[in-house]
Amino acid sequence: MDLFFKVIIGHIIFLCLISCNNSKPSSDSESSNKKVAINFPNKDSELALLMRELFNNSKKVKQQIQKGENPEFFTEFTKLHSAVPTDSTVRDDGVYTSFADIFISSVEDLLSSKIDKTKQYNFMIQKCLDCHKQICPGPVKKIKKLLI
Amino acid sequence: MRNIYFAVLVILASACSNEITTDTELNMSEEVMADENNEILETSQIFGDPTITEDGTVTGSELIKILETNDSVQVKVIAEISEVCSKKGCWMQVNLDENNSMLVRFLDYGFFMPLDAAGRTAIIEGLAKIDTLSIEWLKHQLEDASASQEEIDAITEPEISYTIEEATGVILK
Repeated sequence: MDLFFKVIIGHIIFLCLISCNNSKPSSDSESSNKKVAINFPNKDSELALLMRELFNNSKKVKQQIQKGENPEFFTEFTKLHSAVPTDSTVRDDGVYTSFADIFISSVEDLLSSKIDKTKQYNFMIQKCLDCHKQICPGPVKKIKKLLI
Repeated sequence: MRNIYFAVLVILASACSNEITTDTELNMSEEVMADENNEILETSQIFGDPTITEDGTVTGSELIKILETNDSVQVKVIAEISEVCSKKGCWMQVNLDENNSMLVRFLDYGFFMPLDAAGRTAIIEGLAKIDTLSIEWLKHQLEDASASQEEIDAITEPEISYTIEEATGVILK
């Protein structure tokens, strides 16, 4: 009979422990209570999204060059000519298009460069800055951080 | 012997029950916190740093006084938005008092304001200072505000202004 009670109590202890553990709040429910920031509340244009991707790609390329690795571009930067811009008039005077051509050429030069990729990379970032200073100075400070 | 087993059983059940009660209380307090957060989220929105709070906020007039004796100050200031960049929401102008406004831009172009945020109250966190706004920037700002070419061409001198050039977070009420 004692053995019977031992088994029963053993089961009850086990079930109690499981039950107590399960009743603890999960980390998921904790994280769901955290505040969430809204960073881009307005509709982003294709060009704005492309620029954001290009920034992230350039950041990675910077790290690759600093490590002595070959730079890789996953952004389809040739879309600079076709992506729909926030300001529909941005291509009207040809200034943006010229800067885009120079930038694309600087990326190609960087990819084919066998020596001094840092210099070629900084030249490419400088072309971004030249364009933005003239057309959209908002992200200039952010882009400057890409220089090596 | 049986009495001892029952005593152990009662103690365990009681301990477990107490823990459940504590957890229930915890869940309830979390629900209250979640409700409070939901209340905040229902009436306000957070941009940039999600940990921004309203604690230690100063008014626009107080910020002006602080900057009379300091070159710059890390601050949380509450002010009404008078204008937002009409293209992307990438900058805003806020009223510090009846006569002074401040230009606010956002850290690393990392967050923007809703295009229709003018007239709402904002709590802005960042390094505030008095700065010189270049002719290029002033012209760009007017372009973003869809000003006429005549107004843009009329900008011939830089402007001294209160600024937070790299706000880290904003609560929009």
